[in-house]
Amino acid sequence: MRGFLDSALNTATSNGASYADIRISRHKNQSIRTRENRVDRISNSESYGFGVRVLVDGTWGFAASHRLTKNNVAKITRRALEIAQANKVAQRLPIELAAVESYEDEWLSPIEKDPFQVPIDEKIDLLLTVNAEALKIDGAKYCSSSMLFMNEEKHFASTEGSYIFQNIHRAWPSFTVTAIDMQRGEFETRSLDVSPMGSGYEYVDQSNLIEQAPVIAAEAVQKLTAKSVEPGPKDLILHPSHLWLTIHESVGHPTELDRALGYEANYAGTSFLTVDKMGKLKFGSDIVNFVADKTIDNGLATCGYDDDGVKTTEWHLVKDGIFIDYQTTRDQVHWDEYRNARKSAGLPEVNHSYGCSYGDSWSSIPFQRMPNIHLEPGKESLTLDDLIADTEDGIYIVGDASYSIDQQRYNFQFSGQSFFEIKKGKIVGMLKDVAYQANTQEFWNSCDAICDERSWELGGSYYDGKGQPGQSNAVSHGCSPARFRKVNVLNTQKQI
Amino acid sequence: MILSKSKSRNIIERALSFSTADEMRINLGGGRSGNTRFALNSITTSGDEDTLSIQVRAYFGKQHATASGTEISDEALKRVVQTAEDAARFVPEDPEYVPELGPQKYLPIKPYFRSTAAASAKQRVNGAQSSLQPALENNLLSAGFFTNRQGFSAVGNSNKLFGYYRATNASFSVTTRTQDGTGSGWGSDSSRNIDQVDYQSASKRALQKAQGSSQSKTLEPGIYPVIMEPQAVADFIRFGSYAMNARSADEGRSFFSKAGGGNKIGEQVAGDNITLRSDPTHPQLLGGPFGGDGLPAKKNTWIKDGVLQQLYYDRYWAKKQGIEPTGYPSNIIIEGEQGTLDDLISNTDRAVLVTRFWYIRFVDPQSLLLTGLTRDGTFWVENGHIQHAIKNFRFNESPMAVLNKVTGMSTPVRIGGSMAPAIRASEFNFASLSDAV
Repeated sequence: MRGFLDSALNTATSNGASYADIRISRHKNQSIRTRENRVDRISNSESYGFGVRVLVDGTWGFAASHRLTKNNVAKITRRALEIAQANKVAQRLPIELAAVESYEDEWLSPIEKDPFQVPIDEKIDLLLTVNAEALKIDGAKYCSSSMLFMNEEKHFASTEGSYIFQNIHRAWPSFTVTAIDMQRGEFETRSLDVSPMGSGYEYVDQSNLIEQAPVIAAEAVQKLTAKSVEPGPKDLILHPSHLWLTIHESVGHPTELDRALGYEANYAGTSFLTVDKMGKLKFGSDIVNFVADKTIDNGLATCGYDDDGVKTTEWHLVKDGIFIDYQTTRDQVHWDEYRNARKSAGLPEVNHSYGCSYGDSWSSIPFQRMPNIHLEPGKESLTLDDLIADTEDGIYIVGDASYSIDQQRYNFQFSGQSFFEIKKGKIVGMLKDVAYQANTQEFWNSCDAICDERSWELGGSYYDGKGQPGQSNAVSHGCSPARFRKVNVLNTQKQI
Repeated sequence: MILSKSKSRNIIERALSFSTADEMRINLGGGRSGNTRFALNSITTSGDEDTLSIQVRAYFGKQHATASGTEISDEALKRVVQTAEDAARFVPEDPEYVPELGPQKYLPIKPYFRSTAAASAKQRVNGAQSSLQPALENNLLSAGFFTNRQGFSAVGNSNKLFGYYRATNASFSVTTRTQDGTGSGWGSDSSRNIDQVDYQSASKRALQKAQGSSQSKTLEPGIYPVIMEPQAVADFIRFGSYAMNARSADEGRSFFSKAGGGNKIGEQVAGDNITLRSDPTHPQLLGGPFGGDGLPAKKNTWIKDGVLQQLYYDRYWAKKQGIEPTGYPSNIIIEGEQGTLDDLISNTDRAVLVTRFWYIRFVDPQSLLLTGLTRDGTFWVENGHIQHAIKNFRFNESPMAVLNKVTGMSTPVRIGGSMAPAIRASEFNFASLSDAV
């Protein structure tokens, strides 16, 4: 392996590159999908190859191939050099890289049970049992269930002197129940509130899928006859199984430095959090604190080193309600706009990357991707029951569903899996047709209560899209249940 | 990696020779693609990918499973075949098992152009310069993406099916913004043939929209007549086509389900000026001649004069219903009328003009209610003219509701894998304002 790695680095430096790195990686996925009493699909996929990135006179070049031979590594490296040369003519913002230490290290996901070693029939039995248990509930008509496992084995080397091996695992069990009223031509679905996690098969064991099946199925059926929501401003209590996605869209994406400066303008968009707001903007109420991190146990974006070879860390994005920093990579830290804005806001100088570089495959160019981002738990003792008891007229929302946000992350609309009406401190029944619409800054400033660390949970997604060509990033978001005052609730029922 | 027809056949036959399964299908695909990104008037990243994938589906009786890899040595082929077979042995019998297809006849489609395959990083940089130079000259900011790809796809199975084709694609898109962030415009074009990608026009449209959208006024949210440009139409209607699965409709969990059971085939679901169809041979779209299971791509009419003609049937559901499978829609063609977008605007009393939408998501699959936002140029049209730019909106609207209120269309143009006209509709629900530009 070392020979392949060195071949790329030597070819790059002997042909004019000021920096080069190579990733050789194997990506394994196992997907098992069932519906009702049958296995819909079992798939084991594996992808192996390498990608070389070079910096020539301040211009990036990248090339990748599935053929790992010494000759081909040299050939592909030369191809990356040619691309950098071709692009120099239109390079007006030369790339600079923040300093980084060199590491010879390995990092392994701390899993207890390798999902790829668990027999397939055991997994199938579990999923078919889940379906059967769900369908025992009167009115539950269909149940689809799945398990998705991912594994990345990645060798990284760079001309900074680093040689790093990482073995990363992720796991996601899930199911969805559909209830149908055939005569009225109506249907409702309810999906399990279990997020993917940076874990092994032990996460499947801990997810209590069989016990949850009838509960989730009963809620799907109950949704058919739930009261349609009365629209208007409501107090919302958002469970972590729902709130993680609101954090992801309204906090995670606007704090990407490349977006804020215009690098993603043609696809994902820019950000309302422009650099001049750093250290000044009241992003949320005083109790709102957001921490970015790539080190938390079981986080989907957790790893030892990013794809720039930077050791991972944690840092605040929002502190006591004030927006104070971004997510960065090595080639972003030197940007004048970022440095000058920090200086003028009286914030400490940052000369190092926070380690947010990631390419989703050996064939993908690494760029700035979201770390895990968490809402810190409330400092006062507060449980979910306390919070509901303290709410006069509101809606408690569980689970994630429809989500949409504008290209600068001002205006968002979210729905959920289950909605419970709160009157005078008690849950009085189920609602349906609920979505809420808000402005990011107004929403986080309306947060007046966050439960303490006892109910803090990780949620997350395997599939956060960004970039051109599009890449997928897995990321977790932790939070406790929190309350938001007077949020605009819509009724989404529509007759055609 | 591009493999020839004979080499592909050879690899598929080699893989099949390692099989101990009752039936086996091999899908082989790969290609080479290049891409160039730019932003803030400068090249940012650029790459070249050489890829290959082999997928094996193994059957023992009615038990089946799939495995895939990226290596094609004999040792690697044996490994991927064995992985699929090992998994298949553990799977319960599939009550929905359908035997693999035998030899098929495919439509003579050639979605491959040498010009696209040969395009270089230098050529992509030239395309980028069509926006970068004018942006610099006009004190604007340009960001965009130019990519070209050549690839091949082959399928073969133990029932003597074999299919092979090569395809190319090139795509250019650009966003131009004013320096103060108050204006944004967008343009794009894509084609199988890179020589037909009109990046100059796309860059010009983006620049003009950026300049024209910078002094936007606020129009209160509400229900307004709308003119959607072809890109907005393609993105909005595409979500409706996702729901055209016959099985979901028959199972009672689709907009196309009928109360009391069955589906809405034969019913009026849109205005009588609406026709939606698919045609893999359309000269501007040129789809692949077959799908992943080797089923030939077909011409289908989904909605004709507003009446639902057909839903998408896979091989199992078609067999169960005793009909022919339709194949998955190879593209969506929305029949329009004669005329240009400018003609449509000049015949409009008042409407919101939408360049394109962003972040469209389902809200309610029952009514196909979607939410999303306008982006990169939203304008107010009155008395046949664009009067001024307006702030962006969030919408909550159903494509099936809009297709019942269409009052005018332009001639369709190519938008990615669709042919879409500009559409004017009498009502569209713009639910709230967005400060985003």
